Amino acid sequence: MLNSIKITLFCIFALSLSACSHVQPWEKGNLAKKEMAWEPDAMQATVDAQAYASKESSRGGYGSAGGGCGCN
Amino acid sequence: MSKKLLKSLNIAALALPAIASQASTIVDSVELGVRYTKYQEDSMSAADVSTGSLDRYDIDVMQFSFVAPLTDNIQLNLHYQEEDLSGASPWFTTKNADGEVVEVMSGATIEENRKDVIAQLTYAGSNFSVSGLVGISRENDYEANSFGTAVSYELPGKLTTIALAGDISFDKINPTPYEASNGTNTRVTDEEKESWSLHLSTSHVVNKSLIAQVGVGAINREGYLSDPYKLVNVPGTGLSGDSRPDTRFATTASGRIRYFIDSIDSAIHFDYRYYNDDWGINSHTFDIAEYFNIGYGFQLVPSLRYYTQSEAFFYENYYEQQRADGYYATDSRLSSFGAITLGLKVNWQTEHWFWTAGYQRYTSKNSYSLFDYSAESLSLVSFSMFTVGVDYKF
Repeated sequence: MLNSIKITLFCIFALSLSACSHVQPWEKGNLAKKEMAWEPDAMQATVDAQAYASKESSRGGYGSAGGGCGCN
Repeated sequence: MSKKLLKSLNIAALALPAIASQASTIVDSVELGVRYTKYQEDSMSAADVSTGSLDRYDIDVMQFSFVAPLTDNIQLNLHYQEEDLSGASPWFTTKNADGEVVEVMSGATIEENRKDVIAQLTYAGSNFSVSGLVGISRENDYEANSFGTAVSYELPGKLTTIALAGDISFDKINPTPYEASNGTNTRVTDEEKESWSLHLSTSHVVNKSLIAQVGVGAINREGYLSDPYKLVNVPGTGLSGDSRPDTRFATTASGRIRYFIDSIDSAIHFDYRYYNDDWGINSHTFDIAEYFNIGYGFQLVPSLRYYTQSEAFFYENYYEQQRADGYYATDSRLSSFGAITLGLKVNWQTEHWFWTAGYQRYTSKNSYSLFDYSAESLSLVSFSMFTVGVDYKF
């Protein structure tokens, strides 16, 4: 229950970020650069996530967790 | 011990066709990509091993990617991955003549191959996207079929995107049989596992140089969640199979920032993830990376990752007493530990080409943990990863 409360508060904080910005489309040049993507190199990110998930007890977090994990 | 007597399912963990919850846009031309990764674990210390090989996993990973716009609104992504693994794996813990806990490793080199195919279709409208994904992973002892979907919606003003992603996976586990001295197979056969996950996120353009994302997720796993290739010394019983609960439910919360600094022409990445599950695992993951544009299309990317987790409620390095619930696992991945990864990558981009080469060094220790730990684990791993690759955009 405590974790759920923390997560809810986290979401409220996150959504509150959306109320205070004014960026015009022509000002988005920096945001459109490859290095500003959430994952600029998707294949590298896949291998990294797989390596960590196989050696640690956590997974997911930035998208759906994916299937096919036999890391027992 | 025969060559294939002991194999680990760890390589199957390299099959996570996750689907990202973020806004999708359709590429304007065909893109091809290839990556080669050499993954190499450090050898075990001879002082910590009773019997068996000291060499741990060495994995070669090849990846191929094909992305194409089928129409102005529809995009196809195909990803093929093949891995070849060799090495030895921790088997169980025991005590030596001095009463010290030591690890017994699988005696011979394990050889394993895995193939993985992922196909994804995305439809993108003016302010939304919908995508579906199918993933197939095959090993001779592990099969996984997974399906995923994601939707995203841009709020009016196009500064905020809300996204929802989910997937489900059906896994079949058929471990290589292990014949005991009386000729019977002591390993499980025809086991199954099902898992699903959901992830909800919101991304927001804070200003012309800063974008932020927060997300929450849930992951549920049911079925055979033990490791069929590991054993445990159970007091009064002797060597028994690794035994864990057959359900596991986890929640995650995450935050990510991408910030572009004009004065030094670089982008800084910061990611944080909190993970919690009903096996008692709590973890924090911090990732930071900086993409320095150093001229002539070159980019230098140093990175640092810190991970820490608490131990599972049933984990012990060595059991001195029987447990009432019957759960036993000495797998170091269930212990309380921390891990530090240092990375450095060089990218070079031209109009059509993108070249990359990177190195990462991962070190894990119980003493790096922010959580209490009951005893030192002997089999925590350290590894190196070297990746080279190239993309071509037509």
